[in-house]
Amino acid sequence: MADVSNAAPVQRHEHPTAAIGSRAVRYLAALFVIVTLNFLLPRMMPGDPVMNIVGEEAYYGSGEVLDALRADLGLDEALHVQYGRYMTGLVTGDWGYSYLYLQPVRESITLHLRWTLALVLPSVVLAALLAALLGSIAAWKRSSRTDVGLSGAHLLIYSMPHYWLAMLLLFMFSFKLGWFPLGRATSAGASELPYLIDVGWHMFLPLLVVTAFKAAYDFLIVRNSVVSILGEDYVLMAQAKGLSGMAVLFRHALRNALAPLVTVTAIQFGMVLSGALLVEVVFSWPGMGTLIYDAIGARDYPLLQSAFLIIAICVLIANFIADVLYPYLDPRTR
Amino acid sequence: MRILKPVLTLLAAVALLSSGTACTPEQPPTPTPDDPELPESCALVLRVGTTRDFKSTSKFADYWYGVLSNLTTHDSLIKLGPDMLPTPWLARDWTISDDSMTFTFTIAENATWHDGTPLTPRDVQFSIEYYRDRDPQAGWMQEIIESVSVDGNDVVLQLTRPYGNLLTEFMTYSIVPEHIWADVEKPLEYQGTDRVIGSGPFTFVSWDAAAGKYVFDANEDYFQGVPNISRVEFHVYRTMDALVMALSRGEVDTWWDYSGEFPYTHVPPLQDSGEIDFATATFLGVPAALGFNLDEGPTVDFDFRKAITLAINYDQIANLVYAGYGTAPTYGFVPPTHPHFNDDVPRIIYDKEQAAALLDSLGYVDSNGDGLREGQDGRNLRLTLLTRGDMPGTLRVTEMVAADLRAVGIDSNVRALDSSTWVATKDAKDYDLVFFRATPWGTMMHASHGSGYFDSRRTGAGVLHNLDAAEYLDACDARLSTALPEEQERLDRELQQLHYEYLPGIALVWIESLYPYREGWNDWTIDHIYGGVVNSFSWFTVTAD
Amino acid sequence: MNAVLKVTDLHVYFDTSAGTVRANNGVSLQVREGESLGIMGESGCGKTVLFLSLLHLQQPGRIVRGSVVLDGRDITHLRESEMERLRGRVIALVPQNQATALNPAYIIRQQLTEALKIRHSGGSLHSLAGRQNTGSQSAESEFRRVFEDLGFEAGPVLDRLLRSYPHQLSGGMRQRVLIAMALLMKPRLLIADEPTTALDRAIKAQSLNTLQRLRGSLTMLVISHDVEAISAACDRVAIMYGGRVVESGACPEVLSQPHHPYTRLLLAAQRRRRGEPLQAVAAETLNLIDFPCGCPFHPACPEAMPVCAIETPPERCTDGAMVACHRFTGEAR
Repeated sequence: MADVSNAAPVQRHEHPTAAIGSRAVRYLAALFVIVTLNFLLPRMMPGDPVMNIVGEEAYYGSGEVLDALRADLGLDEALHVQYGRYMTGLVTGDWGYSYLYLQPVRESITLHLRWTLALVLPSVVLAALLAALLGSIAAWKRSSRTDVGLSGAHLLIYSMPHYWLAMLLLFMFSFKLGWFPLGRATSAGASELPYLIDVGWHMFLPLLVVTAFKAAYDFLIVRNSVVSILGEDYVLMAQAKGLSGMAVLFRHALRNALAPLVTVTAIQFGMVLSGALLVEVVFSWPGMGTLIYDAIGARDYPLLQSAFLIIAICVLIANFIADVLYPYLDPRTR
Repeated sequence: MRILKPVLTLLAAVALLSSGTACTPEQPPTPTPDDPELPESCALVLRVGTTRDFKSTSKFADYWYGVLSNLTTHDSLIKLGPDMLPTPWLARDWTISDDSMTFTFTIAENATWHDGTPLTPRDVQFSIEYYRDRDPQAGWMQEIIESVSVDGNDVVLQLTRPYGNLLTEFMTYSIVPEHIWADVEKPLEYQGTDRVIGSGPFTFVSWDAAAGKYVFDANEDYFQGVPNISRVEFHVYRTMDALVMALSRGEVDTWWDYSGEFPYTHVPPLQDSGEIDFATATFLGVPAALGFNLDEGPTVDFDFRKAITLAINYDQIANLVYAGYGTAPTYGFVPPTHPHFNDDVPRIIYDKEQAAALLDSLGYVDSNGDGLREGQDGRNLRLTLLTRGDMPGTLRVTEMVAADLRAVGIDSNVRALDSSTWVATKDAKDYDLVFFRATPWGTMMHASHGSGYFDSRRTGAGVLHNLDAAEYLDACDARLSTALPEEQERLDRELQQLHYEYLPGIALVWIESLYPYREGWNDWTIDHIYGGVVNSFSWFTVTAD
Repeated sequence: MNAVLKVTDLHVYFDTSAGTVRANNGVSLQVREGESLGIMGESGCGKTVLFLSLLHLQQPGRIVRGSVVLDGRDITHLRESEMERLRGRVIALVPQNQATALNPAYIIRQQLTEALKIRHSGGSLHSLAGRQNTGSQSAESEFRRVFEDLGFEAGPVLDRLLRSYPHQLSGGMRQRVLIAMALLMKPRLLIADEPTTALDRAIKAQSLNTLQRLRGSLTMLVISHDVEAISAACDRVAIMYGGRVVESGACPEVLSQPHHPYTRLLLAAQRRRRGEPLQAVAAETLNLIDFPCGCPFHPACPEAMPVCAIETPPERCTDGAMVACHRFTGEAR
């Protein structure tokens, strides 16, 4: 405010690409920590993975069979040797061999990950759009019946367990009404366009649940941000300029609520993923949820590590994107 | 607005891209991705729902597919018949030497592989050697089997020592084609599409992981005749709720599980629907069992164990957890469906007063009036109850037992653990009472009649290996080393009696299993081992209206 | 001369949980074509509610009585959609707080372009989305013209200004952007709310200079508590107290020879502490819910008479000047 100079805009302190570079370094450090924890945590859990491989009824005799299996899987080596192998494997793309699925871990993961992302990414986008629209309207009509109704509905959805809502919808729309299938991602046998339609039909309910939860949270964020933004001077100014209510709301108020929305989306990304994993189980969706669930039960270290790693990377990427977008969404932070 | 547009475009692009990749049909690991048309005339299709965790089409790598393949695409030498006796299958006959060390199997002459190659005794020899050398789960064969040889149509097994359970064991090992597996070093990792080829009543058609669906078609050239069903589909659901809805809507005709109980909570609504019938059979396994720590703690004392068994309200467990489909067990552990069942072993009685009197006589008395008995050291008697947190039925039973124990003045600490942690804790003997279950197959393994769970020399993920009394071990050895039916019967009865005399553990309940199927299907055969109406025998008996 | 704006007996009330706040309690004034009227008073006197009411932006306050006539048209009860057509294009506002009145998310060019689009085709979402309405060429020349009017030379400095986000500008620059934005709309009436507060001294001088340039070429309503700003920018002045105009007249006369005791106190306070925020002149802040009987100023008035507590003083007019005080008998200044 004390700047007397006539016109010189304040110069930026840091070039944006340099800022992205330094952020990238921070993210790499975080990734390293995650990778290491990922290696250690499953090994600190009690229980022997080898026993799970041979099964509940198997006879493991004097233990030679188990030892052989352990050696085969490299589980008999010292921890630091395993760690070294794990790290080099990560870099070279050899993520190990799943002894539960008995195929390279990378194959198991890519197979399941795309189904999870197919569910989560559209949900995040849809939820953000929906929340932006409804949240703004609720804030604009603050304390009206519309606002109370919308806020109440979203709070209700938000406080419901994912699993429960999923079951409810499955029961109503798939079982009682028969409009949707009882789960899974496709009916076997179709290809090309019929296949896509079939997948869309199967995806509808799980997508709805994940979107509803994400939207419920986003809605509350958007509504509260917009409510506080509507008290800002520039909103009054926008009105005084002759903008229509909707133009004030969507061009001026909502625009400034995008930064918190994107931040929340990034922070919540892990939550959305884990929520989606539960929903997947209800809808027999062949995503990461079932994969992780099974891998935990069987102590499938390579699979577990990689699954968690992938999820951590997804969350990191979401945060990185938010970090990069943030200065564009809120120029004051440049 | 200038910024918003590209951001939204980017997000939309990402969404499209991701759904695009997911929507590219996966290359299924199967030779035929599309189900071929069925011939109209004989299109009897059975659709079976299951909640088991299928992953692939590898019978070696995927435990559950292995079980499924034994029902459909593959044959074993013999099967356990509905009468619980060994029934000829690929081996049309067999003989056992008097010393129980030489087994001779006569192989059916007209069996062929699905690819048209004849199935020969050499394939059988190869399979047994292959399991012995390559399958970690078949480690026992290395100790037992001295040699396998072919003699005309016969395959002769020479054992290193007498082994009475060989026939039972061989019921689960299906014969695989030598011309496919001979060059496969690691069967667990073999990805070839021909890994699905067997000699069984059904041929593999397709597996779609995203759709969770296996399809098998009847083998028109099957050596025992063509199955009554022209196609069987297995639909995989992740939850029992979804499966029950599918059953009720008619998306599947019946339910299949290996050694699992159909949850009783789902029975009444299905009964009310009027479209679902139930086949019933006494479950061969023990759905809820209790084991004792025989190495340390108060449970080392036989009378203490006896007191515990008297303190449990078995009828309540049968009624509340098993919806009235349960009955109180006897001390012999296995249910009466087992051949050679010993009905002289007494039923377990729920008698709180007698339990209290027994505990009093052991010196566990409540001297400070807090409702809990104290031990010699003056501290409250507190037992550690190890149970499975991932199995709701078992957990519920554990809580009921804990309440029963509290009623006779014994405090307890329930440790509910997931399966892996349970196994580690169980092997460390870090418990007083351990809750487990015995699968149908599990009750038949080792020296049979549940001995596999108690023999201290055995190891395994699901077994207690807690009893090392010489008399018991000798009985096990004797049972293991005879294949003579009369001897087997005598020893089976003895083992049951020994379970009563040594009390390493007890069954908490025996149950009637219910197998739901849609009305219109008739003439099922019930297979105790493979769980209900969907089994190798039903293929040839079942009919539809 | 024609009255561009004529406000008659305007009452604006706010319903609060504590009671009804009578923010404007019978305001009457008029602004003639080309004239600049100053509204002066302490905070709470109703001057902000007054100009917001002109724009119908006083919500949740409601206009309970009186009228606002703009160019002969009664706009007191216009529908919202019709008010949207008046805002900006007919009555433009230069808001008080330059630091927060610009949207932080848009560069200056976007915010100015938006104003131009409103002038050409209205402020609905639909018309704003259109691109063809204003050629960028003509927009650039309009920006140049307006900034030149404000004494700001076109050139790279202006280009950089247009590319900047509000937070990258100095307070003075933001103030000029806000004025430019109002001028771009070519309004009939310009409302300048506290044009000199929130500015430091050097920029305040600059701002006064700008207002002086505009004086005469535009019809203006200048809301301020600052004598200096009023005398620099206004032809006439109206003093508000307790939701009413207590005295009005030509600027030099009122400021040099105030008749109302409140005006005298207000000006005395101003002279004592120039440039400082105005202190409350009245001993205690007027309670706008529990309105006193009679003259609202009488509890604090040093010259109060018994009648002041009973009767509301009438507005006595003598050639263009008005005083609402029992002491005022109507003689010329």
